[in-house]
Amino acid sequence: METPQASGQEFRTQEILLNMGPQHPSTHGVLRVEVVTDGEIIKAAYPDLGYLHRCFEKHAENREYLQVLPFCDRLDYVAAMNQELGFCLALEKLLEVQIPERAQAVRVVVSELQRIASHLLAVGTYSIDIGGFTPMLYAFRDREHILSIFEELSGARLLYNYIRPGGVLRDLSRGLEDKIKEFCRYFKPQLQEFDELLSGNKIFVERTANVGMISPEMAIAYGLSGVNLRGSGVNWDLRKERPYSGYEKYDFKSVVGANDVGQVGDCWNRYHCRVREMFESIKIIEQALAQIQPGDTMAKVAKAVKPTGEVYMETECPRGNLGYYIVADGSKKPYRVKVKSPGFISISCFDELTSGMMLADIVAFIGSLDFVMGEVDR
Amino acid sequence: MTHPSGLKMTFLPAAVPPTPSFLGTAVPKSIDETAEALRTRVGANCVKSVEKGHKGDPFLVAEPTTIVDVLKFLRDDERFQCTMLQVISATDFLPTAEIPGKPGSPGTPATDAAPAVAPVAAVPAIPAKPGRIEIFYALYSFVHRHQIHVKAVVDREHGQLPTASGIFRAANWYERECYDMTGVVFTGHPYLKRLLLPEDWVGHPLRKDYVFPEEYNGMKVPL
Repeated sequence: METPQASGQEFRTQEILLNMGPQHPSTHGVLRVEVVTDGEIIKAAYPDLGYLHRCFEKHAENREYLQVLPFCDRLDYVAAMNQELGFCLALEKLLEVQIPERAQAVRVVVSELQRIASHLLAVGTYSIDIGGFTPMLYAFRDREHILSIFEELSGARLLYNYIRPGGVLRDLSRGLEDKIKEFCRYFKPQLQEFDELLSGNKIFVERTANVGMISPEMAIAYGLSGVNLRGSGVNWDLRKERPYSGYEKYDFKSVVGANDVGQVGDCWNRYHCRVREMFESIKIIEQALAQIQPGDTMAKVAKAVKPTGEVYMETECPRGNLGYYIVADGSKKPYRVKVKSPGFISISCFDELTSGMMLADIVAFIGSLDFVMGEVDR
Repeated sequence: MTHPSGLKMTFLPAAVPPTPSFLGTAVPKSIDETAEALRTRVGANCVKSVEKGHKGDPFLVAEPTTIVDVLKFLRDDERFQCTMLQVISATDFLPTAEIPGKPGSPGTPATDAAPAVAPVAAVPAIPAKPGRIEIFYALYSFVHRHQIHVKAVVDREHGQLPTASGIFRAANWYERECYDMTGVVFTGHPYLKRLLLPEDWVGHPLRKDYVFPEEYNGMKVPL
């Protein structure tokens, strides 16, 4: 049979437009990407947002400050504690409230537990994206323990409304403190096992190492933060650099990508930073529970607060630095609340960073950025 | 690179700043020092005022026409090195005459009943201000560990501002979102289209006088 070239016909390729999402399982929510491909190579990728836009910022303008708080939970519904913490810290900066020591320690404990839960979800679903089913089951099994701790603490499994301006809703009971300590003891070997199970797996490494590179310069130019920035070798952790809630009291390392399995800035490094960060979170929780003293868990804050001024506050969330910009005009409701969401930034670098990538790698790339569309679309 | 719909989606060739050397020991610059440096190096009129009386973070108010120069200076000058743009946000303020009582109190949606009380006399006189949109830029320096907040105030009706997407890549999408929500036009932006809302949406929802539409493409909007 004649080849097309031999028969005088030119072998032509055609760029085709491939629609990915919004219901694609690897898009972690409802992200739609229009991918222009030439064969297996991506020529361009245009993200399309807004499928989960719930007008958070508009709603916030029409609610009292305390009523805005439950909406913050729903921004990033798998890391709700951290979202609440950011809003409360921004509001407290405006109100100039001193938070009791115990409340600060409890906040650190719950937000680090939430970080573990969120990272477990991230790495578990990432393994599914890459094709490994088993690690997800391990991750979800351990995440369940954290959710039941939170359920006992706040009454809800996912959306807690637990951290309040001035402190926390209710104190950790003695039994719950023991339960969290018990969880830390249980979880360390489990995490070790998870790490051994997935991180060195040949197929997993082939799919993620040296794929989806983000150089440190590019990461900074796009304003990536959190694990996505640290995976690119930039040692930047807000808990270390601008400590809040007493993070300066605890001894932990900020985890940075390394040139061992892959190279700095690739998908594997972003994934593995998450795994290593969970070990650090356990360290923080153990220290916080060892140092915690009895005391108040709520400062005196009015029921209907009426702050004035404006503030921009960032905190280190599992997905990066979440910022709240609040303009307060002295009324019961915020005049303007703007959320700087880390996932929004992660998607904005899509256009530029995916071109030239293999089509199969875009799934690995999306998973390694670990965004949640609820927070991106708000 | 052309989008199938024929729209050009190229990026401005934003210069990528070199990776800063981390954990610098330099003392963070105060807002006054920043304003002083800007006035001497960028232009005498580039900083209109320094606001630090309120609770929360102090900020500079920059002249809108020079905003790109201001941001570029803050990024490149070695005393500041604000290589990271954290956020761009826009806040809408109605002319004070339009709201009786406190200027800048949250606008009541037009679909609600008219505000029952309007305590005009109880509020001390505050000088009337024309309607405006304040664009807020938060910059961060890894080296000096300082956060610099800059604002540009533009007109409410035909608000225009030069784009910062040639300086910070992150600005590209933030500006699209600002345009989407408040209708500020960023001149020179490579692709100023709606981002979160559908392309055929009418109006800019974060404007204080926004009227929620009852219908969208023939469908009733649930309220």
